[in-house]
Amino acid sequence: MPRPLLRPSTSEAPLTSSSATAPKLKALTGDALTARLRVKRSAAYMAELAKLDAGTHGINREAALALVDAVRAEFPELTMDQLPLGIVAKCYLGEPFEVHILDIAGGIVTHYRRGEPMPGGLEKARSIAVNPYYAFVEVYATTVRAVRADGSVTVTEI
Amino acid sequence: MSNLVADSLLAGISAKLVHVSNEIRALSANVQSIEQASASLQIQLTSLTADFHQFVQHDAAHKEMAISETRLVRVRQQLETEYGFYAEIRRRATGILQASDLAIVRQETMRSSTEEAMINAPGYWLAPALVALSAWIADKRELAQKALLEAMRRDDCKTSLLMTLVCRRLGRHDASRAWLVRYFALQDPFKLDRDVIVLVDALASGVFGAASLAKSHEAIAAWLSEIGNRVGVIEEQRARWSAAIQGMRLAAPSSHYPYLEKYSPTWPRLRDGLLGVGINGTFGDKVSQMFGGEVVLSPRLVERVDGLVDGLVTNYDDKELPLRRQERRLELVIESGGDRAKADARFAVENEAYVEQSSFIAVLTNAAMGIGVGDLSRATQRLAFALSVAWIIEAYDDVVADVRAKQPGTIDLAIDDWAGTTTDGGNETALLGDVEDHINARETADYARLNAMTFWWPAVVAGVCVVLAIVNRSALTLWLVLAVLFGVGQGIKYVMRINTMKRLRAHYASRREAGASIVKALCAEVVDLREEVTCEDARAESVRTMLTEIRSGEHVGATADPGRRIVA
Repeated sequence: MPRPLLRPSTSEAPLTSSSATAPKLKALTGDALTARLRVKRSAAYMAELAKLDAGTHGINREAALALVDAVRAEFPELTMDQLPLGIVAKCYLGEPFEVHILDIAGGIVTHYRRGEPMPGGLEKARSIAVNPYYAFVEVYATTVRAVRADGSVTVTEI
Repeated sequence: MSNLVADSLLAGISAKLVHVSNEIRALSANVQSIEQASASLQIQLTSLTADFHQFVQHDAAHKEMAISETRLVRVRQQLETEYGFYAEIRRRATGILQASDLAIVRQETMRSSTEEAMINAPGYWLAPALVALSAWIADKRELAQKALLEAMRRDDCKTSLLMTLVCRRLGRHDASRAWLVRYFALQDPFKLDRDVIVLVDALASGVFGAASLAKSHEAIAAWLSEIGNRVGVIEEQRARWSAAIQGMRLAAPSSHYPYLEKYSPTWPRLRDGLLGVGINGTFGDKVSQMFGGEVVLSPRLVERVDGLVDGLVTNYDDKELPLRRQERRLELVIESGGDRAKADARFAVENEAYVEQSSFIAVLTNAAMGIGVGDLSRATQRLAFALSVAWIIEAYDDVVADVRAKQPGTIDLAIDDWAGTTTDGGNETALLGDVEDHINARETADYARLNAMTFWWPAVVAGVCVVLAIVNRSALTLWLVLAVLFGVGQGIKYVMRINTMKRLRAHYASRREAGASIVKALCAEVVDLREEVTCEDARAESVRTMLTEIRSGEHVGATADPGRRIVA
């Protein structure tokens, strides 16, 4: 019998759970986590992330935080440490800007010039982020997940 | 008199100095020639080392080939000795069916032939299956059932599949469907025997009637859904496809970029990137080739079924598998020209095809890759590929993304001690200016060093001698001789300095010219390389589109039943 991948298990829910309004989801690990992160991204998420290049988020913190919320809403079952470190996308502001990043922990959007190194592990996503065939790139601790405009996900180990 | 002596002394000293100068020049020429000889020797030594390594590798590969060829003969002999008698029985399977069609062989002959097979092949499932077949043809129901039970006891799956095909061949649609239902009921999609590919082959060949076809579609859809819901199984096959697609990279780039190869420290990454984007063309061509043209199926149903029966009884006996595995490994070593590492890498991809049981999608992967025992028809390969296309696309996407991620954004350039960077070769003017500035700075530094080295002490000493000659007239000649001597020395030093400066000027002029021409060539190559990469990278999108347009329903063969067409 086929079994749904993400089925909240009532037997595994804590007896004293306060999740009467928001059911607690089982934390994913290993292959289950890998498979979850490959699932095609939702249209709502894609639409929200498209605002990353609106050219205003660099100064508008509220809009940046809205993007972070969109990321968290897309992956409700992921713990904070499992969320992407950041989202890197091609910047269409024009020269000299090449890419911009959404820092998930900091909740800020920053634009980077050509050749200007990005912080942390985000630099490793630059080559793929500037490729026009991807809408944006989610950077995780050990993988880079490039997302196409249709939401399909491609995984690169780093 | 004293003047004459002084003149003669001066002439002698001057001649000696000229002689010393000539000697120094000759010595300098000799040193230069030794340097050249040493450099040439170094090049020859490097070339010799490379040749030696190549020879060692070639020799090792040659020996590996020879050993593998000998072992292959031995393994095939062993297969013949241990399982040769199976071949005889296998031939009887279609033989009996065809003889029954033509009704030119006596039933008694068929019976004795199958009974003899039964005695000669203890434990082999096909022998009682053949006895059942001949008993069925002779209308001996009890014997047929008894033999069939024995065949099912020995290998239920293969017997069910064989009976599905045989019943279909004889036009017994209900019986065929019943055997097929039984066959599906026996299966665990995570642990399927390799013979399940015969089922895919049957679908691709269009041998099933409408009811069996519907049942097969239903079962396959259920298997794929069940497998899709278990984490890790599809990931494994996706990884196999990724490895197989990665293995399609060429050994060397098709275009040459000699300047980048020589003057760019980034060249190994650029080369890797070029080879990576080359995969798109190779993989795209393979897919086009697989799906190009029409697959011609025999118009007669019996011929198609006989082909499947032959395949079922010949290729899927697990007892032979260890030897078949050895045989394939040795074949790959020979195909790889004795390169064991390359052969091992290829076998790592094929290994899954030589295990007794695997998941349905692993079986599909093997069939789509065309690996494993026995030759599969192109129709089967197409259908298996079409059924696997979802994770093939994912695997291909991963490979493409990996190649894209590894394309170097900045290209480092290094000419002698100058270093620069470019992204697309568009900063040629800036690079040219930078190279010129760098060479000018080096030239200025060399001149400054030369000036610092030029010590005017012989002129100072000559001046002191002149002063002493004036003060101490008793040794006038001696002081004058010394003054002239040092004066001449200073003159020679000055001439040598002029020559060195001339040489430096010529050297830097040539460096400026060479540097500019190298930078121009590098920028041109960077432009060409980026264009090639962009063009090859764009092919990935057309290959992807081609893959997304593949539908499994389009590759189910048309049935040979008169007046009936299969619509998937």
